[in-house]
Amino acid sequence: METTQPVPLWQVTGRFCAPLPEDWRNRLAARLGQRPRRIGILAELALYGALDCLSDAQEGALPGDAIVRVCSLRGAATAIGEVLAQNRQELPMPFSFLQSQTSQLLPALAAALKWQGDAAIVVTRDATGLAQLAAQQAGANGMLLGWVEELPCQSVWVRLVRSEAKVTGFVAAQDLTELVSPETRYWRSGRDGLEIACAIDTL
Amino acid sequence: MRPVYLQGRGLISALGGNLTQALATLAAGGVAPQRITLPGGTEWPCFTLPHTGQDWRERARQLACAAAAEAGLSGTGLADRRDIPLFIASSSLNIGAIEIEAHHRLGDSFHCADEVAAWLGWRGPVYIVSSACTSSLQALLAAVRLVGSGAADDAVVLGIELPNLFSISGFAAMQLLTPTRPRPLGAERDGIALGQAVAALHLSAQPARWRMRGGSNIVDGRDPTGAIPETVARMCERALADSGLQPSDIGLIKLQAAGSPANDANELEGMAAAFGTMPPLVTLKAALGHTLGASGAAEIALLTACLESGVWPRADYAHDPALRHQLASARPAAVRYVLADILGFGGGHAAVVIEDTRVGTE
Repeated sequence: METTQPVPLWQVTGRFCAPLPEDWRNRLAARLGQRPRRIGILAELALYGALDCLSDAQEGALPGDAIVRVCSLRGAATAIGEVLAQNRQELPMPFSFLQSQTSQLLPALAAALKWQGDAAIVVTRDATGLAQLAAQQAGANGMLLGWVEELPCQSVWVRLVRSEAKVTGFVAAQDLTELVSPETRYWRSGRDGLEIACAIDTL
Repeated sequence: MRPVYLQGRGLISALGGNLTQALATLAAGGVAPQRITLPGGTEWPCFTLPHTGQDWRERARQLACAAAAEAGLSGTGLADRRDIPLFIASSSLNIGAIEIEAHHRLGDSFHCADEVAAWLGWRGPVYIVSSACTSSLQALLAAVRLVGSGAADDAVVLGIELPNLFSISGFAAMQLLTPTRPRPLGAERDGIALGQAVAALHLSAQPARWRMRGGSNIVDGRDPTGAIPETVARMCERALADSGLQPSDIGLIKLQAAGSPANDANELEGMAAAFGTMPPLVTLKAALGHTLGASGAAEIALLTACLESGVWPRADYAHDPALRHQLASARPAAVRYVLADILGFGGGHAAVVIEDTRVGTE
């Protein structure tokens, strides 16, 4: 007889989805105590949103077994363009090349979040697909997911942990806006896709 | 979690157009890297794919289709099932085409995935994993979790690292390349050589010879460009724990070892801390070059083929006695569990453990 494992439930404990203020780089520098050094604009954007998201979750550091997944459709486009231009003449600048590697935002994040663990750049246009994939890989301490773009500037983050709450009223998630909406309090992974629910706790 | 197996594999690399050719080339002593000239006039070694004279995209299409076909994913087979996830793992994606096509503007990197999916006639969900050198192993771990959890019955990892000057110039600028050829763990190792490859791994719940036991992925923010010994050790410990194994169970370690003076030493220091008594060691970087985002898939494909056939990569240079460990000169006997790691840019430390189910318990 086939046994069915309970579907893990994820509670949204923090999010950052507000438009970025004009002076977001100054605010990031103030928060870090110094301007980030040569990590590139994409990594700075990631840091800004991830740190605010973790604050919203009232966490000073990310637990070691939480996972981090970041999606960026355009990646480090500015630095890639610079390296392509430099490369037509001679060798590119080493820091330009490092900044052109989108994955360089991961060590920057790890350092800022005082964390080391399972992090990856996973790109898909379907935000619910990324969420579903991350939910398959995350453990009890959950996940921190980010969608970061340079142009136009975007840094959207959501933090989730496993929950034992009894929740009803799940509906299929449609897009990133729904995933990170303040209305959305719970996620669960279904065979046909990610489902979300509002704050309807039942005992 | 249900067991997950390697159902099919394909590899196109500097060693040849498929795994059979790769083994034959390896048995004959391998290939020397080609010389690539950059716009500034400097030359660097690179393990290149065979030239066909076609334009970049047509060549890319043929390579992707050929690797998928070798892994058993062609025609009316698995590609026609709508629910199979495809993970495209790459560092450079289609930057080679962008270099050539002057009119091409940088845009949505997922166009690359759209192209590959169209070439393969793929209709399942497609993800790009682009976490530098560890991309393929990260993709493999995600695919194994999907199949193991029952969310999918099959999944495919396609590692792609195609011709481009972007990566070579970047690594040259960072002074990470050897001017001649890579000598992993060698006394005169002086840098890595990049490589090009397309590799396909088909993961399935259907039993096959190679079982994916588990793995780990750790990003360490302390060094964005290199391996850290204690993190290498932690990567091994987590991979073994995830696999339900002890260090003494491992019969072979497939190292990252690419010929870097510092990284090779850091990797061995971490491995020694995790294993104590070190199992036999192998690296495939002197044969394939460092194929960056494709390296995890390419090296799993070649490694399993080597273990099955007995063909073994040669290290015809002096080992560094300071490292205290050497590469195995021949296939170790009756290896049941293999740990394979890839270390890379972005503080990436990733490892998988695979099991040869035909090798019995003692």
